[in-house]
Amino acid sequence: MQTQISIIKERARISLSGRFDFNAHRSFKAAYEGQLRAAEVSEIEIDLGNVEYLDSAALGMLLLLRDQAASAHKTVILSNCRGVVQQILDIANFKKLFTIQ
Amino acid sequence: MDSPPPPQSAGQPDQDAAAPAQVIVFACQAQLRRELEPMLAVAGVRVLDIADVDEVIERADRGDAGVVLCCAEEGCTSLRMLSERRVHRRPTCPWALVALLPAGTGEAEVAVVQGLADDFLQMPLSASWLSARLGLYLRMGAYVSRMQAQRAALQQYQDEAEEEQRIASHLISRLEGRDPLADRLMHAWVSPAHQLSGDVVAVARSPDDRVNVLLADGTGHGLAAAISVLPVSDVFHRMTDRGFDIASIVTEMNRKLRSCMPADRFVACVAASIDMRERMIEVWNGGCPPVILLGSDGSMERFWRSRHMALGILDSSDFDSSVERFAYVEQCQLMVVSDGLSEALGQDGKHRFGDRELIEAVRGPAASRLQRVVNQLHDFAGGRALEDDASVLLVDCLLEPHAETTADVPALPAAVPRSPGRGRSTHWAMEMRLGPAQLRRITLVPFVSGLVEQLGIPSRLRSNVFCVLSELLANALDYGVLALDPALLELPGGRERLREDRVNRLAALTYGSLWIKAAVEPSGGGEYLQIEIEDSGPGFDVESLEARLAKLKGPESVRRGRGLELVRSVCEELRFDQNGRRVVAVILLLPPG
Repeated sequence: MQTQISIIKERARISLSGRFDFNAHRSFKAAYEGQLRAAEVSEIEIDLGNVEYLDSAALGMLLLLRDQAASAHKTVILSNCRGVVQQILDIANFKKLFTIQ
Repeated sequence: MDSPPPPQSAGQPDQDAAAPAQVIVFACQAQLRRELEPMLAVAGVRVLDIADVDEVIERADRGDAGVVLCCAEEGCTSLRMLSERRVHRRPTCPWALVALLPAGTGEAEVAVVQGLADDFLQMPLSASWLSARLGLYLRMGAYVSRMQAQRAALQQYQDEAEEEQRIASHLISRLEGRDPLADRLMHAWVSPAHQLSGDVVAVARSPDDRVNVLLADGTGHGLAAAISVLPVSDVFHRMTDRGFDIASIVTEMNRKLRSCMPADRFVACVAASIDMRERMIEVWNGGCPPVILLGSDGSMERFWRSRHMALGILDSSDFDSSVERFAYVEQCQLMVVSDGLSEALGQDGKHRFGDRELIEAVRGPAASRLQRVVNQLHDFAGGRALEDDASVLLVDCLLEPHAETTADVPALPAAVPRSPGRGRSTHWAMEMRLGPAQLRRITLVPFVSGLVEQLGIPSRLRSNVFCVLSELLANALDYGVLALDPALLELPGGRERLREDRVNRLAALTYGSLWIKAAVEPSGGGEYLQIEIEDSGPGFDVESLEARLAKLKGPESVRRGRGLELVRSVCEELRFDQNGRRVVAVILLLPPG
């Protein structure tokens, strides 16, 4: 999985592409850790527009990010969810936990 | 005799500077030795001069030397001895056996030497050539040594992992309670992506004959996922045995997982209950693909989408345990699958096993339905291995509890046969009064189930005693304390109305009580359990209630009418008085004589 980070005002956008599964653990963590520490960032957007698939381990990583972001007083937004990614998030009822744009 | 340490050189092998590499020189004539020594000194290695072949092998195996230089004299006797003796040994450290060939050695001799040694060097040698070759041998030895160490570490890791998995498999199989009767209703297929499955399927019966169904899918797969689902499986079996409802069971599963699992670990779960007397299905779906109710021809009668978060994510205060209910009228089959099935990749590596494939596979007779789903999945995957644990669970929803489940209530011998020398030390009595706070709090089935278990009733009679206690308590609560109107049972939709009234009145209960007394007493040479229940309600006409229940058609007649019928059939005496406010039931525990 590839990650790309861009920062617009107070929002850090982490764009993911490829397959988001357990193997993406390191790269995903590396992408968000800096944003959690950055004082100027108040929102972390996970752009799933180019993600082909995500498994339950990826859902777990999003939950972990949400927990850590809450501790750092930041919010997490999931964006551009479509196709199978949207279906998986629907089944997991992640809309109850995350803002999905 | 060992030579003094040589000076450092460019050709010194890649070894720890504090411990120069060592080379054994074996079976070399004095002349050759004199030629070698200065060159080995330039190469920066220490020379071990050993004459005994066994000592050469021993010290080389021990790692004292990375290279053994052996002169290949005519006939290669020494080389052959070394070669033969090391062949079956497993040295701690790898070493190279290098033959030194006299100048002008012919092709035939070279061929012989190649079969005995790892390499050969032909005299005359230059110092730089020998240094380079020795460096190569020692580096290769160090490389092989590292590889061997890594391989040993990997082997150890694999052995430990296999042992852990063996223990985990054993533990999981022991924790998964088996109920042969419930198993007959269940048709399941579980395909682990690894040795251990993170999917668990189970079916278990509660004391009041409800069939509870579980499919739990832990995050990821393998041991980590299998460990995550253990608490879920344990709670499911334990609480089903005690008679708790699905909402209580999933609440406890969530609490337990939330308290013991890391934030990124959760368990997607379907917990369902099939009450074959009421013909009512309750489903709680948190994070799993839709649960589908299939008609006898495989048509889709009803489906339940995931309405909840998976277990272990939300705190108890945010957790929603509400279930969805559905009353079925025909025999049908409940199908639950895990996402490993619905997301299985096809042979093209792009498309996933979706609703279309599943609906196609389930169409047709129920008997071979599971096999058709599995075949369809295999055809779709075209030999491609599944990436995740995949499960399919089909549970028959009968129009009445399985013949043997009801048979064991009235048809069992009413008492345990007397055994010689059996003592009479079991006489006891207990009584309790439950006020509004307790009545609001207590879930009747687990309460009665726990009571029967704790009272020390012989196990063969427990279902009889459970049946009597639960029916009489339910009547006393519903038509006594809560004063529900039994006439509702005869109206369309009356059952639901009665259920709602029950929930509302119980929640608002501030006055009323149930008094329960149970005593085991000897009488006429036998031993009897007498149960007395008295409620604080206005009383109700028992005969009229029984007549009303007897006239009922459909599921409610099975449930309530049959309930009182069963009570009468297992009691020696059943007596209502005080206008139905008090009931006395007598059960024979030990026959006279």
